[in-house]
Amino acid sequence: MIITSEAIVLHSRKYSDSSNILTLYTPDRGKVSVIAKGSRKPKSKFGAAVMPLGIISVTYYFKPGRDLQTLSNAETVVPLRVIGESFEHLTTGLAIAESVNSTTHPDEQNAELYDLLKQSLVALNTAGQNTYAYFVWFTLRLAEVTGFMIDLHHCAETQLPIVAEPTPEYYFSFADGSPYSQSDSTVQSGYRLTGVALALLQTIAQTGLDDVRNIPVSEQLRNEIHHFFTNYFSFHLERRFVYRTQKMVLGNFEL
Amino acid sequence: MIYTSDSIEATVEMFSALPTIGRKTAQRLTFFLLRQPDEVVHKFAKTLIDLKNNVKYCSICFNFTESDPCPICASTKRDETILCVVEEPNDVFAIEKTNEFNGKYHILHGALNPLDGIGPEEIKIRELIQRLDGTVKEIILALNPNVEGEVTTQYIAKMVRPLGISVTRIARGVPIGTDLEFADDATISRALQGRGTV
Ligand SMILES: [Zn+2]
Repeated sequence: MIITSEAIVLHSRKYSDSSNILTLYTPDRGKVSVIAKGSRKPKSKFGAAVMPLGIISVTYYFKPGRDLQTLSNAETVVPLRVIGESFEHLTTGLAIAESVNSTTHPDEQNAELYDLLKQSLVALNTAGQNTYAYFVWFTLRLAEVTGFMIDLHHCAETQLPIVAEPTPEYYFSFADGSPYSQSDSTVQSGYRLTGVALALLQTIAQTGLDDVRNIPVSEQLRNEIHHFFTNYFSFHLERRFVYRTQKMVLGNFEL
Repeated sequence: MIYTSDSIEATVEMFSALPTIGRKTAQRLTFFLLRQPDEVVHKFAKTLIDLKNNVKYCSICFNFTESDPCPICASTKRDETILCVVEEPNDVFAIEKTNEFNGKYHILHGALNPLDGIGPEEIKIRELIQRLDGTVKEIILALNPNVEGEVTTQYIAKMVRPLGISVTRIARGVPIGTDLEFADDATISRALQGRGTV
């Protein structure tokens, strides 16, 4: 069966001498792995379309029951120039792609997630310096559309509204996807989140995608929030989940 | 076992582990070697052992060499104010063939790959920064035109710019998504000449 579809390239790895194996995210079939034969040769018909973060139109031969399909054509639909030319935009975009890749299974259709991913990358492409807030915005909605909804505004125990105070800390229930309020709750367990981090998460959750550009996130908060998401997804995916992009996104390396 | 000899089987295995060599070619090479005189096969084996014993990394540019520093780093005829940064030793051969470049090199042995957790510590970026002691005035980034090459280009530019060194990249004559080693000499020459600021 020949399938033509829009797709976003989540991952690419070199295969044999001149090919790549791509992980695509598609609106109708979710995650699909395809081989792009000869894609690393200068005369390849695929060109730049098959690189990670590409929003592309693909044609591929689909054989049910196969892990790997064969790509026959790929063309860029939405060029993302800014993402391609800045370290922060690129690493943030790749972190978003990685999140989709590691929280979904092949053949799980989720058109809502496709739209979310596409919208987020297109918006990131217009972002200024505050790229990290896009990752947070995306991840909060990713949790929602994959069924692990995070509700930052209501107490996990009493369901009463919470407006985060900067001090002291909050406890967060991974099972409920919500924090415990400080005053009404007797709960003293859960994942510890600083009030500043919770307040920032609340702000980003309430911000429209067009206004995310105005939210700077300090290095310290980036670290805290990244670890929060890592632990949240580990809990819900029931396995140790680590962002491979973490090192580059957070700049955690010694030179 | 499809072969009548364990040694044939083992040799076919070894050859098929090499890049671009399939099982059929591996078999052909194995039977070819079997038909050669003893001294030819001994020489072949010894050449491989010498290759592994004698060839090391240059302690300056990390290219392969038998003498340290390598002939390019040791040369007084080459311009040491321009450094061309590449991913693999293969790329040095590709650029040298064009006769277009008379500076020195730095080989990263890979590129940053956020999706696979390859960061600056995993490639020779620290060693590159340590080389920048004032002599180098321009860095030309000749990395593969793909996402890994792009992340690496942007990262190095970010690290090096504050040192007052000009950072350029080869022109996009090399098609995006492809490997530099597949590009022809003329394309690489044009890409070098047409380099632009990152
Ligand atoms: Zn050298």
